[in-house]
Amino acid sequence: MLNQISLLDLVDSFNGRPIPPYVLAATLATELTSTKQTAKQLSLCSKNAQAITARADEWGKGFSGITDYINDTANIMIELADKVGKLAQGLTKASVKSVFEQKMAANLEKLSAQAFQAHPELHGLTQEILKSADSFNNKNVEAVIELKKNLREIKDCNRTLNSIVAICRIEASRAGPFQDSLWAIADTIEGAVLTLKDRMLMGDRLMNLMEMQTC
Amino acid sequence: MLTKTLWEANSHKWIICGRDPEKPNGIIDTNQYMVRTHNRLLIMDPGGIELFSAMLNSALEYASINEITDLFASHQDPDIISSLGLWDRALPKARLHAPWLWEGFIRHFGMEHTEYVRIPDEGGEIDLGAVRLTLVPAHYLHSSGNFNVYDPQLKVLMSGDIGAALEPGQPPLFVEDFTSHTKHMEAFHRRWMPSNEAKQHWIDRIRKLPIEYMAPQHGRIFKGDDVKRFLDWFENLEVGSAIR
Repeated sequence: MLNQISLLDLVDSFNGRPIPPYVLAATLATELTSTKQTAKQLSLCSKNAQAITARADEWGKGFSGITDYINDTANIMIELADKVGKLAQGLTKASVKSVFEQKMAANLEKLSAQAFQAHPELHGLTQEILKSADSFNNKNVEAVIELKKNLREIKDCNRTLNSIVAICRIEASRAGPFQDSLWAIADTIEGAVLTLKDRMLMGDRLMNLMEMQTC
Repeated sequence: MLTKTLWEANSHKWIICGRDPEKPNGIIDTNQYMVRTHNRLLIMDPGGIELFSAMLNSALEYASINEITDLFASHQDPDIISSLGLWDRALPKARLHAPWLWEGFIRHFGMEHTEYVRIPDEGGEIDLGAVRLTLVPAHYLHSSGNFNVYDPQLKVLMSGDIGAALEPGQPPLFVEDFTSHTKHMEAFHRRWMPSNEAKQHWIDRIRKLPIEYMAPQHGRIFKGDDVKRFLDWFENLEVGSAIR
C-alpha cells in the first residue's frame, strides 16, 4: 500500500514525465481494494459484537443497539468500495483505449497534404478517431466525477463510524464483566476508521494527481 | 484475471496471472508470470495490448509502479510483448530483457524510456538483487531467438511456448493427467516447433537441471514427475511435421 512518502517517490521516479492516467487509475483501484477488506472486517466485528451482547444479556443492552448500525454502515461501505473498484478498473481500460485513439489521430495528422487530397475519406477517418478519443475522455471525466462522489460517501460513512466509537466506549464501560470484550470491539472499529481515513486520503491524492495531469 | 502466488521462498515469490474471463474472444489465452522480491517486480512475457489493463491491475496488487523494474520477453511474438508501448509509458525505470536478435523488431511495439538489455545467444541472468534467475537458450522453440527462465532456488522453469497447450474454457492451473493432457499439446508442438535438432539440444540441456515445476506460457503447469514425462514425450514427438 502507498503512503505519502512512497507516493512522492512514485511521482519523482517519473522525472517530470506525466504519469499515464491508466497508471493512476490502476493504482487507485489497488489502493481502494483494501477499503473493501476493512469494511468487511467491520461487518464481521459487528457480528462479533452482537454475539457478545447476546451473551452479556442485560449488561450488553446498551451496546447491542449500536451493532446493527455498525453492520449497516459497513455494508454500505462494502457496496461503495465495490463500485469504486469497478469504476477505477473501467477507468484504467478506457484510459488505455484513449491513448490508442490519440496515437492513431496523431499519426493520421502527420499524413501529407497530398495524401489527404488524394484520399479525402482520410479527413472523415481522422475526425471519427478524434471524436472517439473525445468520447473516451468524456467517459473518463464522468468516471472521475462518479468516483469522487463514491469516495465522498465512503468518507461520510467513516465519519459516522468515528462518532460511533465514542458511544461504543461509553456503552462498553457500562457492560460490567463484558467491558473488556466490548472495549476491544470499540478498538477494532477505531482502528478500521483510521485505516479507512488513511486510504481515503490516498484516494484523494491520486484523484488530484489525475486531475492535474488531465489539465 | 486470476492472480495467484504459486511458489515462495524467503527472498522471492512467483505469481501467475491468467485465465482472464474478460479477455476478448479470439485471443489465445496466455499465462503471465511475475517474480516479486522485497523491493522489485519482474514481469515475464507480459502479454498483448488487450491484456494490459488487467495485467497492470494484477501487478499493482503486488508492487507499486516504480517497483516494477524488469520485464522479460522470451521472444518477439505479439502475445508475448505487444503491450510494450504501454508498459514503456507506465514504468518510470524499467529494463526489458529480451533476445538480442529481436531488438530492432521489438522496438516496433514502442519503446522510449525502457532500457533494452540484449540477451546473448548463449543466455545469461536476470539479477533482481535478492535472487538471480538464469536465462536458458531455447532457440527455434519456436522462435529463432528464444529463452526460458530458470529459478535454481525454487527449481522452476518458465518454459515459454514449450509445453504449451491449447485448451478451451478455463482449465485448471496444473496438469492432472499427463496422458490425457498430451492431446492438447501435440498439434501445437508439431506445428509451432520447427526443428527436431533444436528440440533435442534443449531437452539435453534441461535434463541437467533439477526442475520441480515447468510453467509454460499457454495452458497448464507441469509438476514433479510430469516434467520428466513431458521431456520424454517431447523427445519422441516429431516436430516441424504438421504440414507436409
